[in-house]
Amino acid sequence: MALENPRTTTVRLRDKDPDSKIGVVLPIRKGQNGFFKQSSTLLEQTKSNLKNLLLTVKGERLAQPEFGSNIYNVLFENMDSGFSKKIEDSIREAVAKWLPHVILNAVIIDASHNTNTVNISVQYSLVNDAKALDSLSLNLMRAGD
Amino acid sequence: MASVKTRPKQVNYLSKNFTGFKSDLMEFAKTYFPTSYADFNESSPGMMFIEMASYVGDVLSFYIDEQFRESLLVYAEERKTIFDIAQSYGYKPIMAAPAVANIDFFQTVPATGTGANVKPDYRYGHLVKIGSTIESEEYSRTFRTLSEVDFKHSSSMDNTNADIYELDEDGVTPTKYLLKKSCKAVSGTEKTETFEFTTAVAYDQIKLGHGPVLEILSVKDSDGNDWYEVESLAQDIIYDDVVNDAEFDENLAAYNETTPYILKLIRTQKRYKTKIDIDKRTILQFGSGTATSADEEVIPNPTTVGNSFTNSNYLNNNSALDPANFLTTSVYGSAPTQTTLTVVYTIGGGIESNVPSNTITTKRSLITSINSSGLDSALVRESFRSIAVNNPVPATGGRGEESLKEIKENTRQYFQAQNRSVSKEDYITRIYNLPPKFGNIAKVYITQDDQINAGEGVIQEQTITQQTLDEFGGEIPISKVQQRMPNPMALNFYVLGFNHNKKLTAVNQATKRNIKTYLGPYRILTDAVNLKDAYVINIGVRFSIYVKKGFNKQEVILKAINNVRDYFDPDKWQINQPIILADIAYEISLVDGVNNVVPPVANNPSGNLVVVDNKFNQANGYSGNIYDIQSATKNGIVYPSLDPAIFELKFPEIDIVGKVLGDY
Repeated sequence: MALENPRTTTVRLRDKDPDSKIGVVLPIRKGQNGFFKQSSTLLEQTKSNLKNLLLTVKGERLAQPEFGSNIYNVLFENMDSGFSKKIEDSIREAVAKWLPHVILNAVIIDASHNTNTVNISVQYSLVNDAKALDSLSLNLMRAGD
Repeated sequence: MASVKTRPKQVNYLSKNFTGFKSDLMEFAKTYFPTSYADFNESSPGMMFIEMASYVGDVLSFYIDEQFRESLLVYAEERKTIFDIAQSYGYKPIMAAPAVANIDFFQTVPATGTGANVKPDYRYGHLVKIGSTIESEEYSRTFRTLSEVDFKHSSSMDNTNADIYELDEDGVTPTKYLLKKSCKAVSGTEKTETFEFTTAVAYDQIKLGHGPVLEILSVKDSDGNDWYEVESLAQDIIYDDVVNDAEFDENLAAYNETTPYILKLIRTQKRYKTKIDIDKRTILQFGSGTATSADEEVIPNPTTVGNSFTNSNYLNNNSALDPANFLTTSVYGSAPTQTTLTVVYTIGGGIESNVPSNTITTKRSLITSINSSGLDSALVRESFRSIAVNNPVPATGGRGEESLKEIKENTRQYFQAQNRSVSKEDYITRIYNLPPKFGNIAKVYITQDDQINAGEGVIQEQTITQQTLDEFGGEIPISKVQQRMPNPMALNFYVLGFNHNKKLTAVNQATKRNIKTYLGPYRILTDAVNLKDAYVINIGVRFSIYVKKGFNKQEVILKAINNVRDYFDPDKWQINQPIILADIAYEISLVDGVNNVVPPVANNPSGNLVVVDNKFNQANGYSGNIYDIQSATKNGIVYPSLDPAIFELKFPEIDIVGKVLGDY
């Protein structure tokens, strides 16, 4: 059943309404109703938004030069002892600014010298529902194909 | 089933940029798709689509703004649009301006006569025609003469100087004279191009191969017909000139010394207009007509003007007349067909054409003529070979193309002028612009015409009698009194010319006719023009001065007289200009050595600082116009007469009388 006044509906109520959609999810693909696949809960949508935010380089987005994170800039710095900290700081700074409703419970950086890859795992919850947890994993390569 | 009435979606048309569109699209989604989309965070992938749409909107807005801006001359920035707009207003951007040089032409002629009557034999004077080319070899710049150089004739506007060039063995009697005349010449290299035309093409265009073009000198077709440049193809009347001889008009031919040509207007269908392309080259565009005879004079009638409706209903439709009717005639000129057009034009100009003085000294191609009947052929050849040229002052005026800013400003100025004579200044400038070969106009003064109100009931008698006064009951209304009323439909042009001694004289009938012809196309339909002669009031000037001690009195008085002569220089003087006596005294006081200017004692009852006398005796060469200067002098200013008149110091050598009363 659709909500009577969706504009004033709380997130919690909206999440419980199966007919109410939040936004488009990544990767962009066809949805069941013929349009793009959409999310039905805020937590689900946040995963796509977080991915979009972290993988966007600052200056890349038209008319929003501050949008994005510094992960890609840090990625090609020397893999010294402070490398993981810099990436974590970049993630926390971007999330604090652009996704303030997200609580980062854990940010795990696994940088591998041998494979030249950096695995990032972010565990997060929402401000309005701290119990609902989700995680996002990103596998980034420093060089190569 | 009852129909559901849906409200149309509200679209905001006010946004113009990315932020505005984005905000509107978000608001639109919130309003109309609240359950389909609710994530408006920047990091949302859905916002990517909204921002992409905003991006497209921003780009479209930019181009709409750009298009609109480019459609307005004031704001346009693209070179092409500025060129197009300027030319749609009738202004042709100048791609290069030629340098203009004053050229001295010299020629030797043999002497004729004996004893005290030895003088130049002007029969050997050549006529150097317009378009003769001379060159500055050092700077590789060619110049073309703009007026005829006729060594035979001399006038105040076109003086011939004669100096002794060679003496015979006794060292006293001249055997040859050196004649000198001046004319103007413009820089430019002449180019000739031919263009083939087969079948007629409406509004055909040809592009000249070289540029920037300074001037198109001639366009001739295979049959020798001239094609004329017009401002727009709808203009079918152009100026032409004919020699002022008895064959043309016996009466006017009497004035051909001072007015060698008569201006006339001709109607032609062989015409073209020019356009300037952004690559600085000139395009000639022709008309659409194909008729072989002059058919411009289409008399408007139901078959030539109107629409094609067969019943009278169209009368109720407020229909416009069908302009396509005119396309079947030659009102826009002929399209050239089965012919070859030869276009002669000049290119060049620019700052480099401003060559220094004494560098234009080479004769390149002189077009001359002389009536050699009864003349010694050897002397004719010798006199021709003796022709020499020089530019005593540097050529000036050459410049490159106008900047876009200049084109914009000049277009606005040109459009406002409308090429019509509306104000008094427009008419004056236009008359002064008449080329000298159509007669010399030295002074012009314009007043509104007036007339006497001789309507019904207006008292015609010059003196009001007691009987008339009684008839009106002792009080006559002003409307019943004969008085001069302004005539808003006519202008009086008071003109004067110079004679061969540069003295003011009445303008001859041939010149007046040329003025009328010349003003015709520029004149407003309802402006009637009366050409009249202004009065010349000849004057003399008397003054007295004290000289400073230690100065040569003779020298000081001569300089003072010269200053008075300069003050009354006819070039600076205008019709109806009053004489301010204090100004003359001031000019005298500027002379080094003048201590004081004092009122002349003799015949100066008002005690003016400087005395102006009327000189009128025709036997002494004056105009014969008597003017009471004493009555016309108020507060040290000599006012001219009510009828337009000009003060002239005709013989400064005798008309200026200065006295030195002493020194201290």
